Amino acid sequence: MARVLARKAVEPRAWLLWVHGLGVAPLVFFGIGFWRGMYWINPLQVAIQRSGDAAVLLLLASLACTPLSWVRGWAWFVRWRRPLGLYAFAYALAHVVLYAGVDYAWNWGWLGAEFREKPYLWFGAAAFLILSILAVTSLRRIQRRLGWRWKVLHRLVYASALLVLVHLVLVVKGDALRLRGDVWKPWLVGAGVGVLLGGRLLRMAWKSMKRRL
Amino acid sequence: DVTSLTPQATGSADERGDALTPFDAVTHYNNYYEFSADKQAVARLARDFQVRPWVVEIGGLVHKPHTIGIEDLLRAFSLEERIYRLRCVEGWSMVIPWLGFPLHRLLERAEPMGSARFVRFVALYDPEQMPGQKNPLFPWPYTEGLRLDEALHDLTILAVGLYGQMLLPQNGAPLRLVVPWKYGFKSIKAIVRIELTEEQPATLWSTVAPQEYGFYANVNPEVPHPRWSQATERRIGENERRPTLPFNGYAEQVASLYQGMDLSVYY
Repeated sequence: MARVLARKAVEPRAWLLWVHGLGVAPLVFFGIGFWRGMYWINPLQVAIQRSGDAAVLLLLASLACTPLSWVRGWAWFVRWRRPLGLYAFAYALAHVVLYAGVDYAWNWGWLGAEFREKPYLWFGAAAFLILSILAVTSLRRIQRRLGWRWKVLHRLVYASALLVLVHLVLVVKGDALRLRGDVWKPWLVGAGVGVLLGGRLLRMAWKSMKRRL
Repeated sequence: DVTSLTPQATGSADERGDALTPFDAVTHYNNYYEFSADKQAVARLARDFQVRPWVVEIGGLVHKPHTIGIEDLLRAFSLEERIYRLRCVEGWSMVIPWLGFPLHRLLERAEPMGSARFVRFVALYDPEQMPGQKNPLFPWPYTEGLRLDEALHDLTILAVGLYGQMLLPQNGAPLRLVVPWKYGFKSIKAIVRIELTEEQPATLWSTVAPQEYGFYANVNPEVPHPRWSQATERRIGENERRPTLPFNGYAEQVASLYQGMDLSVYY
């Protein structure tokens, strides 16, 4: 028992610094690149892609917190879940605003035509809708009011990750399923989601088996 | 060192009055997967690319197959400036003052046989110089193709320069195709072989994703692409999107090539 307590104390006291560092890092990298003049020719295209990448990475980071917290002495990782998820939502929001608001200037005629033609937008929009709901219900007050339902609702984060994965498969240049073209991103994200979701499902199965024994 | 020269074009706008895209943007924003998928990394990665010696092979269904060195090629054909719009399939566009000569001049010299119906272009394969070619997910080398009548059209040029100076490696030096009414990926760079064929040749992007990249790839706002809008585009240097023109604004000259064809089938 004493050992467990000692391990618990390992949580970096500056944990918020770590979390915010992770959250702000993509923006800082983009800022440095921009400042060094690497994106000046078509900055919007880069900004849309990078904000999307950042949202996906932070979503995966947020999903990784639960499995990491299973490691003895790392239970504190659970506290990283919410801020990292909120950062993922913030980048997703930037992604959507840059696309629809800046690139397409909220031109609903153009955007409507895009939505009719391009299924990748449906998956992206659905994922964003879920993230928005989760962001709003992550307020402590709402969290408390929802009680046990909050937990069920927030499992939707996995649905959001899967929708993002389909969005990526459809959006890359090439044919991800036939492994042709510039398709490493969906495979990387797919592997990440697969491990994180698979890990949780395996643990659930393991626990229910143990209960029955 | 060509980069130290002042880039000079004789014209300042295309025939519609659209201003030239600045030289720096044309030479530092390059879709050139042989080097990198990052458009702004290509110029740096291509800096030491060797463009001499360079030999182009003209063969296939021609009466006079031959190889020609790039210097002889430059001597044989008088160069002219052509200011063309370049529309990338990704939804951005530029206006570029190319320096080159019509492809039909080269093809006529080789005397195509009556059975020739297509032209196949092959780019250099040299993974040591072109690091992107180490990516096994692409069927290198880059190949492209045109129907013979498209290749013989006077708008279709082989470019050796832009802005009044020789091409830089990142723009496809020493010899590249420019077909202004088609999406940019048709305009193959660093050409080493031109071959006349009877069958429609396979092209790199239509092999990678046939449902997205057709053989024809004519700029067409009516035919959507699963990812990018083809109805509008962003001209590099401008803030607002602008409508994309059928055949990239060259419909008057080229629409007749496709009479009776359903362009949503032959995309």
